[in-house]
Amino acid sequence: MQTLAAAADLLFRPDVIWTVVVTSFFGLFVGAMPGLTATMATALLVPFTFFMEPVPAIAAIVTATAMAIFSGDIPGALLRIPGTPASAAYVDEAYAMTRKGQADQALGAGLVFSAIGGLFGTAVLILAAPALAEVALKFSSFEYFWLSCLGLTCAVLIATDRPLKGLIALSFGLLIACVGVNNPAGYQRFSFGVSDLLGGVSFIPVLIGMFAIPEVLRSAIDSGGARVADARIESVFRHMGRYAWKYKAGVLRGSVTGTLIGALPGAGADIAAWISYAISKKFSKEREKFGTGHVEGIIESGAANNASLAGAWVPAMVFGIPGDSITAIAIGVLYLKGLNPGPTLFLNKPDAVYAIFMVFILANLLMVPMGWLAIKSAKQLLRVPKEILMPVILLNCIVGAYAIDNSVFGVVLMLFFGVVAFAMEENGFPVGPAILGLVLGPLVEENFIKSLIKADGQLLPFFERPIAGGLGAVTLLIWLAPAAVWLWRRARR
Amino acid sequence: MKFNDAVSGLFLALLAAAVIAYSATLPSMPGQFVGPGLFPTLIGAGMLVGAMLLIVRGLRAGRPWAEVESWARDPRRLAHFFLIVALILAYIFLSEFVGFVPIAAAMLAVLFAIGGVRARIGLPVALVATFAVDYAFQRMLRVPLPRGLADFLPF
Repeated sequence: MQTLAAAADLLFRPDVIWTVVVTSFFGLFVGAMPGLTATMATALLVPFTFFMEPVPAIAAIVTATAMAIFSGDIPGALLRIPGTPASAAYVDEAYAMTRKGQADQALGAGLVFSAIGGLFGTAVLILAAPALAEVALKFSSFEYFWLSCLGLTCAVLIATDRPLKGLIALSFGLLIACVGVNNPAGYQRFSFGVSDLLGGVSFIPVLIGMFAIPEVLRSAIDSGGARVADARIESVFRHMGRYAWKYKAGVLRGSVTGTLIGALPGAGADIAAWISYAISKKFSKEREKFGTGHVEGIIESGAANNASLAGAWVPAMVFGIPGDSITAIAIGVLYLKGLNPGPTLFLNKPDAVYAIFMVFILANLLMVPMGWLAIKSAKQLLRVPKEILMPVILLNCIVGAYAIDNSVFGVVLMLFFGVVAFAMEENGFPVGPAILGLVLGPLVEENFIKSLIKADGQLLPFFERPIAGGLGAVTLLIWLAPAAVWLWRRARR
Repeated sequence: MKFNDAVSGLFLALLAAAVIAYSATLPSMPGQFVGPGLFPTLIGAGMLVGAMLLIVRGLRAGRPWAEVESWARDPRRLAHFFLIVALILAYIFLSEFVGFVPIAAAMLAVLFAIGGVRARIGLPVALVATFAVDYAFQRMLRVPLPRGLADFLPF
């Protein structure tokens, strides 16, 4: 109880509430702009969080992402262009509803069930994270080593449709993390005498470079815009109670699916929405209506993509292993703020942990009025011209990359990794695994080297402790499965 | 520019080989059998295997070595693309000397112009956006943005 009061004290301050309100406008705007994703919203926010107290910094990220994942539905329904990839799964359905004159219902369902899904995911986070942290307190470097390997494996296999290119992107990220003196030996490596690289590659400029610069570059080469559909938006909340009752199983299923997929490392809101939409169609009693402007799939996958946001924080807070690319960024911020993620966070800073939980509840509740406002002003919102927006974003990227170390070298890093990320995406290499590798690299290496020294070079101690053994076995099984399948197919031929 | 996977694979294999070769020059920790070169060597090896598989796949696919997309054949869009890169480079080299406000305003004005925004709207927006960013970072976040020529101003 005392902790809760302390947490509330951390959260309910004018500056924190002010941050939450401002970032919710920011999140709604970024999410509603096609081409600007929730991950990019986070990347653009990070330079600002750098100068904030820990709790408002995390509050800013949580609020902006929750709002952005909802507001991605707005251009989906009105322009047939998803505002963020998380809305792509049901964009045709929402647009079909708009053409039937039901834009307000499509957007209302997206809003209300986003909030419900988000609150469900938050409940799971609040219940599961402290319990998992108890278990994680007993972990040694062996368990952490296997857990991070398992996390990285999931990121490559689940989060991408191209595991091979995902693997290469991941190793690229891990290699960037190797630069500098931050390794168990404290030895200067891969810096080639460049003094700006001695302390390692600065995380935030890389992040801005990889997530924002490719979008700015792509906007230069994309031609043509889209016309806002003529939509009547009258009563956003009408029918929502009826929908909630009629599709209660779907709402629950979407929330559970979303939370679980969010918690899997590497897979985030977009995958949660795709899978949930497919599940919804499979179990629906009116399957033939899907694709013709039927609200059921929007409800289930709208709940799922917002539930996944909170789900992703479970492994992030408990183990320091991000559940999606947004939490990968958030973990970087947690470290910068001295809130190093891990089970000891729950022991040492319980008030901060509970304040983060409360931020989730607050953001998902605030989403309803703020989202209503965004829906009502959607037509004006979508009229902001890209030719003006993108250069301003570029300027913010440059200043943000500069601000972290007050050094123009940050801008150099941003440009380099921006062009690299653009080339990667053009050639089908996903960027997410590279960021995951960059964040997890030091953790993996430290636990690997520590375990190796403890085990005196033997392999057996990696499997001797029960949990480590189990995690190790699962990891090896997943690694060996593709080879086994290949051999089995060959043998059958 | 879309490259055949074999081309990307070859490039990545060279990168991985360079990482492994460099890692071999790193010493081991005193009194230990492991050193700072072990982890990068393993990652380099993983990348090398991935790159080899990519080369095999690329050769089997039988696509051209490199394809130029439609945007890269359109001189206007190509110019727009390289202009953004060039402007970031200009910022890197000139901002310390010229100062944040002039270079940022100029950057925005140029980008608005090539994006087809009319000067009547583009120029004022460029100035307002520049001063807004300047205010947010310089005053609110206390980031010392380069002053450059403004050092010579009396205020």
